Amino acid sequence: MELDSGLARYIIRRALQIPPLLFGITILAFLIFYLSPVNPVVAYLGMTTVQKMPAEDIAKVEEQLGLDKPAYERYLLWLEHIAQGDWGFSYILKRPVLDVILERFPATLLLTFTGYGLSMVLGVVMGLASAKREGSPLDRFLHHLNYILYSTPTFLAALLAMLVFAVWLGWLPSSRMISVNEPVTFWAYNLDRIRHIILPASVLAVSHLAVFYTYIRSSLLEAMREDYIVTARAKGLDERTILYRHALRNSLLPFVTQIGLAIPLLIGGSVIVESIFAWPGIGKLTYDAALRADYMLLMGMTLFTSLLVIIGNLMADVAYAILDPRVKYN
Amino acid sequence: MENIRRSYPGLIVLGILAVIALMAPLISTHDPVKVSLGEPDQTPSLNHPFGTDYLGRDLFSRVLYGTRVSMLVGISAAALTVFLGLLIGLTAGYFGGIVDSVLMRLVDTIYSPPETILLMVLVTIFERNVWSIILAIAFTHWLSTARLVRSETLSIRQRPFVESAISLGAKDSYVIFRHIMPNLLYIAVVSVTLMTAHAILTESFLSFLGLGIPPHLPSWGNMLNEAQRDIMRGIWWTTIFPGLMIVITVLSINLLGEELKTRLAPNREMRAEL
Repeated sequence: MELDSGLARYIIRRALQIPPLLFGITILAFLIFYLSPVNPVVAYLGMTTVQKMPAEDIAKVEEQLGLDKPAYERYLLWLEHIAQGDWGFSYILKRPVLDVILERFPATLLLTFTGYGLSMVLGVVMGLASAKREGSPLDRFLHHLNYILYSTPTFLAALLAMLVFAVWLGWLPSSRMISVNEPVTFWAYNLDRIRHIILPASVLAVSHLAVFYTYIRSSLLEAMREDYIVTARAKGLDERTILYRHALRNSLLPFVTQIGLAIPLLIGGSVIVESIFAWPGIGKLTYDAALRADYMLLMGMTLFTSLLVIIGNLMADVAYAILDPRVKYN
Repeated sequence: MENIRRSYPGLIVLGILAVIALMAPLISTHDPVKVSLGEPDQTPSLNHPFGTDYLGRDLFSRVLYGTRVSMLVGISAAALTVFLGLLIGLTAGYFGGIVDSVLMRLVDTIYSPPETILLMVLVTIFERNVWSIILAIAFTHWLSTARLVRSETLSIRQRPFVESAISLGAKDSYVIFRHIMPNLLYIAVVSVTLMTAHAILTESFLSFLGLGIPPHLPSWGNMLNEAQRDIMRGIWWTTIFPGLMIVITVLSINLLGEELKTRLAPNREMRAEL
């Protein structure tokens, strides 16, 4: 596929919006901590460490952090550290923040992709079932169900799923990514992992289902009113072909942007689901950091997740522009 | 009256919830915070309709009092959120130029970190009480209202009646309060309603994680936080009843919001935006 110059210019212009945004985020993160009552030395090393430290060591750290300097100098000093990959030190884990985040990230990706994929498939299937006959009992039922799902907090869904499937029925494990006694054979090992991911991934899927379903349903119904559908009907195509080949294809296009926009929600969902099911990803990491006031880790997570959101949005916009030739680049 | 019952089923339920919240001391059967170590983890019975928790506290009374806390936090946070959104959106849309650019970059910036992460950071580093939770919710949620109000203000500002008022020498404050605000009122009404549902969910989520309302106050989220330990022992009532209250409340507010949206929004595009 040849990229036309309009598209190339659009991508470049869109990418150029990122640096100022990143700059803004670092200022925001710095300001929150600067204005907070948190002592930076405590933030850097943790309360327990600071209490045991002699005064001259504390003074040394203060100098290192530039606490005697004005705010903008401290900000620049901090920015320099961030740019060099020194995101501070997590005192609850006694390790560099960036290392911990990158180490935990794959587990979150695995859970999120599984849950999200499940959610999309379910959303499309339910949306199709609804749009096939608008106003039918099935459509109305799904519509109501959707309202209830939308009003149910994810953590409640997680608790109920755990109660029913892990405690009452005993079918699935309720926490962690793998059993404490890891199975040794290849098949047993992977089966164990699959059994562990089912509950958290399903809860994540259900929590996003309402958004996807509503989106697919309304864009399908919208598409069915378009001229090209009328043309297809006039040509004598059967309704199945019209729905699947014409309406669905065109409705899935704007869905791409939805995926980009859903990243912040996904991270939010992973915090809840990972905390409840003790899934060792970045969501659980953030929760642990918040409970034990590990400020450096929280600051690192703010920067890291912002970066994810910005990149996700950029990719969604670019993908949409490439996929849909009707998009005007402005 | 018939009309109200048909169109606003959410409003009826909310009315009942409001009565519950206001009359909690009269309806409740026990002291919601009174520990009764002799009767922990009791199944629902006539004496304790919703059962008791691990400290023997009466869940029915706790759920009733929880309505107060959740409603108070939800409504105050929603009002503050929409107020902020209106203020910033109106300023940006009306004055335009550099003011607009600066304010909208601010919105873009705060929009970047996921809401949940930003909330957790805010509640961790600032002192935690009911008001700081409300402030944290407002700080992380005003952005979408501000964007919507800004774009509406931009379009209203270009309409002939506003332009003629300005060319006749009307003061900014006159134009804003007399010509623009009335046309934004429906956004405020719908946003406050839907935001209340969102704020109640957010508060319950934070409290559930142990990062929200101080634990001595019986909010639904706090009750579910304590219910976590019961799940593994198969004790279901500590989860079901507060959970059901959250779903019913949020559902009725959302239904009311949808109904208001259909009635108040001037066209389909606006309805989709809200």
